[in-house]
Amino acid sequence: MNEIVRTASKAMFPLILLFGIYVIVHGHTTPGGTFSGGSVMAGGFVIYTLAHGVRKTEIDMKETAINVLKSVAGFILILLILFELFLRAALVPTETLFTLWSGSSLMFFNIVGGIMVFTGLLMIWYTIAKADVE
Amino acid sequence: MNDTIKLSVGLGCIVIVMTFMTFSMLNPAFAQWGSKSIAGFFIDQGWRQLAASNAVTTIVWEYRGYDTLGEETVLFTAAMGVFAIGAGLFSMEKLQERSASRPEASEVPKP
Amino acid sequence: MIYEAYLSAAALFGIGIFCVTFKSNLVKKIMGLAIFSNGLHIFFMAMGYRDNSINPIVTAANIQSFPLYSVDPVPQALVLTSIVIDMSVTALALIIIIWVYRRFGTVESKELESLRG
Repeated sequence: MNEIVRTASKAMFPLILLFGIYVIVHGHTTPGGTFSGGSVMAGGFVIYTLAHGVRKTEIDMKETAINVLKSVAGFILILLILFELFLRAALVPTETLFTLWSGSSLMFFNIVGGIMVFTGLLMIWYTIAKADVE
Repeated sequence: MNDTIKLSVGLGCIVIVMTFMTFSMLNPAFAQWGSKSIAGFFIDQGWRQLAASNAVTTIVWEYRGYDTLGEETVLFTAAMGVFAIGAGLFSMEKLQERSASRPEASEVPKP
Repeated sequence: MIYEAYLSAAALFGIGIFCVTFKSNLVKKIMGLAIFSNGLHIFFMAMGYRDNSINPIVTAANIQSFPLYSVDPVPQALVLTSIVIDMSVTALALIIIIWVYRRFGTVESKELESLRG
């Protein structure tokens, strides 16, 4: 693609990721959570890949890191859900309301679930995007 | 079937489903729910027990947490399935050997 | 009762069912699947509406009248799960369609019915 599209996508990419992380982390006080934030983060990677081509994106961002991150996030998510009842008193206090450090274990659930959705969508996108490479 | 039969059957489907779905909600038994239902319990006690402002997130992760575990399993399985089929189809060596043996099925249409 | 939501959900459902049954291209059938599941999600979420209501977020201003005025949050949580499952099914169906194209050379279901071996 042109020079304008490539430069604009390179400039927008960290801001889109930052907005996705904001939607995920504030999932217990504002509407949002794992799926909306994960979709926004994956959308940033899709914009970068469309503007630069799959070969250059594979050089810039390693693809094996996505596989490892997905397996680790899945493992931590299963552990968190099965043992949440015992961990609840030790994690976050429940006295303060309407602030960020509240909601006893919801912030960790949202972060780990957001990583799972983000890496799952990226794996699907990279597999289908490599179909047309010469 | 020719095109007029297809179009009329399609329009008939749309009209029947539209009338059914609209008139099913005019029944007064659907529209009332009070504090004795399960949604009343989640709204009353959710933010007291868990100190979180978002009622939907407490339902998704605490009161119905096993449903979310199943949903993440489905997402994981679908991504693994796409990777398992796609990595075998799209590697460069397989594309070249398939194009050597059967030339008409390996052409990707140009946009 | 929001009438526009119910009518648009019914219209989406009808269009989606029409696309799944009467179109012969496989990609159009998958599009019809996505359309009519979205219609069902809109219908399911519109059932939880209440007149003169606020969204189910507790803030410092509405903590007293929150159980009287908020919208039903249970259908929203169920639809969130359903959207993710629908996306997974669409992704898996599309990669199978790519495989069918590489193997047989065609994506029309009328020609695929008459293939042998």
